[in-house]
Amino acid sequence: MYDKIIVSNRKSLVGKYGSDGFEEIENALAKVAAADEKRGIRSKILYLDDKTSMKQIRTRAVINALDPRENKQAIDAVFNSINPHYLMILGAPDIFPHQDLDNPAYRSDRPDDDSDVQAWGDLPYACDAPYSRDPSRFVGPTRVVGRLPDLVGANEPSYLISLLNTAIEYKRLTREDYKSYLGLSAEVWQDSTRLSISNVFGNANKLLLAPPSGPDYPDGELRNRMHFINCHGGSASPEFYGQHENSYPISLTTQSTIREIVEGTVAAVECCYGAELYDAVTLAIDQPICQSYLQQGGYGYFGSTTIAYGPETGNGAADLICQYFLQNVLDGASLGHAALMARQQFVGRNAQMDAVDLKTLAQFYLLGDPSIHPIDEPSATVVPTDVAPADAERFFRAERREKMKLAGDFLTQTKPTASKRVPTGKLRKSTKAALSNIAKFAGLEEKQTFIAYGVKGAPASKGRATKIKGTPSRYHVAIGTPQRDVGKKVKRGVAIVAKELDGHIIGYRIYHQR
Amino acid sequence: MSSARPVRVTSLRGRITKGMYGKGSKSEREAVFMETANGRYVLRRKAGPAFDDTKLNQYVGHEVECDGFLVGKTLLGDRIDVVD
Repeated sequence: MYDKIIVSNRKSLVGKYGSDGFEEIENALAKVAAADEKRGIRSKILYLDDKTSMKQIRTRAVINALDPRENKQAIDAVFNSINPHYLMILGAPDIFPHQDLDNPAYRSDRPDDDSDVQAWGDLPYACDAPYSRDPSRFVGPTRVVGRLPDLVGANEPSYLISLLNTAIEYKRLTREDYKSYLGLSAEVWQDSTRLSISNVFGNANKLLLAPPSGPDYPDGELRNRMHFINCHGGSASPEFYGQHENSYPISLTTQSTIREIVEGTVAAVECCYGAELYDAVTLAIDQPICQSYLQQGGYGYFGSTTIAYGPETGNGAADLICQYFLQNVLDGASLGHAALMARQQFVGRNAQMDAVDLKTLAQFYLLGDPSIHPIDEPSATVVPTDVAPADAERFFRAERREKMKLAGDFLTQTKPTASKRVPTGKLRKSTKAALSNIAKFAGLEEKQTFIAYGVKGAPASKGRATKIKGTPSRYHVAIGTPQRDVGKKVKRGVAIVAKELDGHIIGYRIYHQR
Repeated sequence: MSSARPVRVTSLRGRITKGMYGKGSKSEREAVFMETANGRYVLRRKAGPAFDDTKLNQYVGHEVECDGFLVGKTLLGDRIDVVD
């Protein structure tokens, strides 16, 4: 059986790169498989549009290469049949699509608040649940998945070949090699980022603020191997931005990363659209920053396809899932395992998954070969000399996957979610008053409109008397601009998420503009 | 696919306004919009910054004609001319 399955679409690759280009990719993939074999990983390339291959795993070949449902069903068949320890998606979304999850924070009546109709991503490929556009179905990921992208719109494969070469030649490095970090934050978010960096690295002494930092780093800060970035980002933009009051200076560009990112770099990037694989070729602009990282030998990049969320101070949403990813890498996990654990930790930490939590889970994904272990972490378990190291590692890996499967299944079965709008109906006078007070406290109008989301999936307590319910009945969400900022050039908006239990507001969170 | 597939537009007409975008998110800012017969788009210059592009202020309040690319809800203009 195989440990690692590399999935792609042959017809799309041939259509994009021609027969010669496809042959180059095939040759490089053969070298990836050979290099994996030396590391004790049995790899196989599987084209989901190949009828013969798909028949062998008792499913239909993908006909429409860009159809999310067909690709999800094919991936599910791969796991049902082969159940690999690693799944590597080969190609950008014009070869192999992201899944089209609905963005639960999107409101068609207020499209300027969060303009993402979909929260694109690869989360469903990492879950056993069947195809759906409802992100609440995917709160229990169990599979190790990463994506090695080519360039959207490219017609020659040199970019993809360079990334495959990284996968061929990668070496595990020491913990010492990952001791130094780049911590980069928009100045206005420094409190939140300082906390994040301290949680990951034990200190925030090297935190850089933008402004004044960026876009170039002449002192070589980009050459550190661990990167945590919390800046602004825009759709189809090769730039990140800092912020000081009403100014947004450029903090990092694709150009400024060139010849600065060193082999083995691992990045967690909170920026909106920080991992969006836009079509730089058609637009004739620089490739995405995330793709520049990988082209220069970066091993992994964990980021968001769309608009991301986080509180002004303290940590939440994007802050947390990014921290968890880097912590897991530092603990010696493979990139794919680190991403899977980050997703599970993020879901596990939240008592319920509200609309913002669900979007965060859906939109963050891993770019890079998921089987890469950046850090060579010695194991406390000794393998007897008569056992082949590769067989032992395969067994230990299977143990870890089983553990993650149990954890994912538990989250699926128990985690309440709130992704669907429900009629607000007639609120109790006390509920109305509580929401008005919270809105007022957040700086919004007392008559601010709240949207209600029903909570589903709450497990009923069995076998014991329960005096206090542990799950709210609804969430109320409002997004708006504080009155104190109306008329200012820079308005700092807020998103309020309030929990209701049987007509009483029992708690709330306020997400500030980042 | 994803929202990132660009669609070429030529001579797209619309009125330019300013307003809040991405409320409550990490993208929140005052943005420039182009209101067209087919919808409302965040307007950017293709060669300009995604945030705080002061060169777009000259178009606010005007009817413009624009060539460029639509990427999701964003219009990346490589030609913007005032026509009113």
